[in-house]
Amino acid sequence: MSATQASRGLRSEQQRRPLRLLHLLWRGQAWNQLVLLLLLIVALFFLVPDPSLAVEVLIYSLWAISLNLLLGYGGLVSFGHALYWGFGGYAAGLALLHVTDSLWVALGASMVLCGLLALGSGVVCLRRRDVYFSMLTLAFAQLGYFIAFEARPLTGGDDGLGNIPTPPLDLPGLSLEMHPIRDPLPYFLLCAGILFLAFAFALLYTESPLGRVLQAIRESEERARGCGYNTRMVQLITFTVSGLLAGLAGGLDAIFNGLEGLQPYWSLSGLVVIMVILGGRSTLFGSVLGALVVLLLEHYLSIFFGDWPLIVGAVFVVCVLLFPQGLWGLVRLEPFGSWGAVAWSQRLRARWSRGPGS
Amino acid sequence: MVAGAGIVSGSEGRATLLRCEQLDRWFGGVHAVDHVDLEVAAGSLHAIIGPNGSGKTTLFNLITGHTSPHGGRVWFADRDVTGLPYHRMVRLGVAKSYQVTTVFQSLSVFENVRIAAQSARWPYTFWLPASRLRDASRLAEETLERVGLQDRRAELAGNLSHGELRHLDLAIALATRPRLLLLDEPTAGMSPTETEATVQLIQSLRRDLTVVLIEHKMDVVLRIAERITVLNFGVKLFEGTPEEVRGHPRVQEVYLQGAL
Amino acid sequence: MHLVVNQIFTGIVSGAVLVLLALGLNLIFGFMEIINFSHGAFFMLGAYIGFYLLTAFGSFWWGLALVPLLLLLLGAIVERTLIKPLYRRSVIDPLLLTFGLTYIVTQLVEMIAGKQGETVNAPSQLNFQLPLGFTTYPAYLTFVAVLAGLIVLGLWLLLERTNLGLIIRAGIRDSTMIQILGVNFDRFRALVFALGIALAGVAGVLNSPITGVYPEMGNDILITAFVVVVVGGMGSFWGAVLSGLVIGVLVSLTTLFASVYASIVPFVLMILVMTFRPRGLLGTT
Repeated sequence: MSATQASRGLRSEQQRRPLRLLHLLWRGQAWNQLVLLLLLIVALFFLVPDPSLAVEVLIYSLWAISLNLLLGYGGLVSFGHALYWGFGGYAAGLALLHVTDSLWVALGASMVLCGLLALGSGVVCLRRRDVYFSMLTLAFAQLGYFIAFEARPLTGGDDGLGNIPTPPLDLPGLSLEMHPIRDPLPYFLLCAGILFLAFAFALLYTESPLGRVLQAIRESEERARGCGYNTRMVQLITFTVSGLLAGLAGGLDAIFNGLEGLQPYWSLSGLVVIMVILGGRSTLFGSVLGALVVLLLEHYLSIFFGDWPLIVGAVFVVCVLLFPQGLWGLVRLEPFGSWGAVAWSQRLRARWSRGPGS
Repeated sequence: MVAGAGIVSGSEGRATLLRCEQLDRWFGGVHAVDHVDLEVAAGSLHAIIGPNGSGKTTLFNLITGHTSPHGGRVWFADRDVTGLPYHRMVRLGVAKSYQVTTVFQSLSVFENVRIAAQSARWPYTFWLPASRLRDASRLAEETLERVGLQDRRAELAGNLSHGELRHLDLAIALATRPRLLLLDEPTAGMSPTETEATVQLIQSLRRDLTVVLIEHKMDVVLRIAERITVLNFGVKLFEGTPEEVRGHPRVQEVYLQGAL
Repeated sequence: MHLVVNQIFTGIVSGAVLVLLALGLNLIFGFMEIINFSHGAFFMLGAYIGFYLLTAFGSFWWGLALVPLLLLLLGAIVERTLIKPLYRRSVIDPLLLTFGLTYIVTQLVEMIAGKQGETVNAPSQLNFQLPLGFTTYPAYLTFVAVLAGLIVLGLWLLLERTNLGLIIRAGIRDSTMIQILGVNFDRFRALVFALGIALAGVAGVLNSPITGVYPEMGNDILITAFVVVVVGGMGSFWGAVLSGLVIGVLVSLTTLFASVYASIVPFVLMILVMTFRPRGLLGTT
């Protein structure tokens, strides 16, 4: 091989690597989503002018991810996911108001309460499949709403649970006072960290044997039973984990706002369903995208246009009709086959490996 | 093991793996399975035949626990398993292939089988990625090779042809390491070549497990079955070797009219 | 005692409205296997259209007559354009679509008509009290119950005694089979959906003098309507009728004796039924 040929080959090898990285990212290997998440968090930090919006995106992303475990991976459409969000908020708020001033205890209380709540309601809801399941989750959400409404001394009724004190951020080695409204940066970092860890956990969950069985059950519950699995147990575990994470999100939200308000749980549940579907239910990162887009739409549209839910609803309907893979599928240009980003990066790669000028 | 009610030496002194005692089941006004007794010897290949509606599939469902019997009992390896849910039966070693093929459509062929393979030891594990389960992966590979689908391992199950789907269905059942395999019309809808391939496959299974099959293709049944049970309107009409079945006048009248 | 009897009647009336909604839901679910989350939105739409016709023509009866026709048309259009593309996809997609539709319709109505809602007066011809045994009862409410009963009967006759009904029932029983038999199943889907929607619209018009019209009225009643369907047994005609009346009366009585809990009666009932009798009161597995 001549010197020029060799050097040409070497050059294209070096040039190939960054493209290969890009290609790997696009190809959607599951763990690449963590990298994407990191990039998104950084982008949020620098690009979003309103810091509290950025924090909300992180918190709602966590909530959306928790629902996606059920909806996207499990095929279980829950219309009552706001229940765990709300009660997670109450748990954290009540813990901080009456019992503790530790952030971690408060968040722990959210997770434990919602985990138990999800376990209990899951046992009933999962007795039935499909529609009945959805209706039962709705019923539990309505019940929860009713309890929240009526238990004024505890929850503040429709005024909400207010004056939640903001605990300091206690980490080994430092304790940081947080003032989320004045200076959201520490809280942003806290939520980013928690989101990252939760995302990694959820990703592990979906890639684990249990997670794979969950998806198999979505495809065919009967066949999964035929492989020896107690399908109800698999779904129940997922339901509990999902509720637990939703409770964590709710707790984070309540502490951030200093308030856990009360909205009708059924429409709030609808909002997170829209986030998951819009973003793309087949990947966890899709849910993050969905939360991002819906919140951005809400934030910016509501300035000009009082009826922003109309636009979100229209986008959602268009999405269901034309882009069932959601935004993430759109970004990867899946519907467009050979014009897709994956195909393009493959073409580019092939061209580079032939070397420039060939 | 104590010799209890279940151990009866079948033909040639082999132990009885499956015993059904007076199984009975109604569906509305139809007596789908009418006090049927069945004994399957370990290591044998037992066929169940009968006209449509004679209760063959219902009998399978009673054995696997999909349907609970209105009367009678089922014994598997000397253990009373009557009424156990299907997933428990699978754990005990009874697997069924499906009349209407159901696989995990949007998962790959390999994944389909691996999910079956991992169920024995790792059903509820969520703290490590599934790809780390080496023994399950190995079992899946071996099973795929056995049914001849190893070249299609990366393909989405939804894209397979009918014959391939049946083999995948079989592979999933095999990956649960059953002792008893129930096959419900395994060659349905197959061309003669595909049928032959499937028959070879079924015969190759005999060295590790017991097979009971429902089949309509008489040439297949008469060729490979050791023992044949004939059902009609839920009642066991006759049971015997292929020669005995072939020669039985009542069976000929009911079912084999012109088929021989 | 008068009060209790009156409450029971009121319960029957509100139950009647629920029955109309539940029957529409059952038809759509049975024939198309779609959970129509937009059912409440059409209930509300029907009520608003009725209200506008009332203000335009000064007569309630115009609304009652025209709304079913308009909604038949609208239902067919919606089915053909929005729902039809989703049949080949998963079970979840039509559910999500109808859910999104609700969002859009509710928002549109809020934009056009405002959030507060309006009161609707009962037609003057029925604005009196009807003597009913030892008590009196508003004639309009009695009319609602009677008309709903007639509609239920009419629907039953349609399903049991006509060819159209035969096809619908067959389609509910086994959709694959009747397609093989050569029925243009697709067109019937549009018809069944339209029929269900029209029922919802009529229920909306009938209900409007009772609660007024406001954009959220559909969402509020939809959940209860679903409970009625599930408790009665999904796909069961008389199950929906029975459970609608039962739930209507139960809620009404609870409002009298322990009004705080009235709003959750349907849900507690549903949870109980789902736990102890999953197929519903009159449903088949």
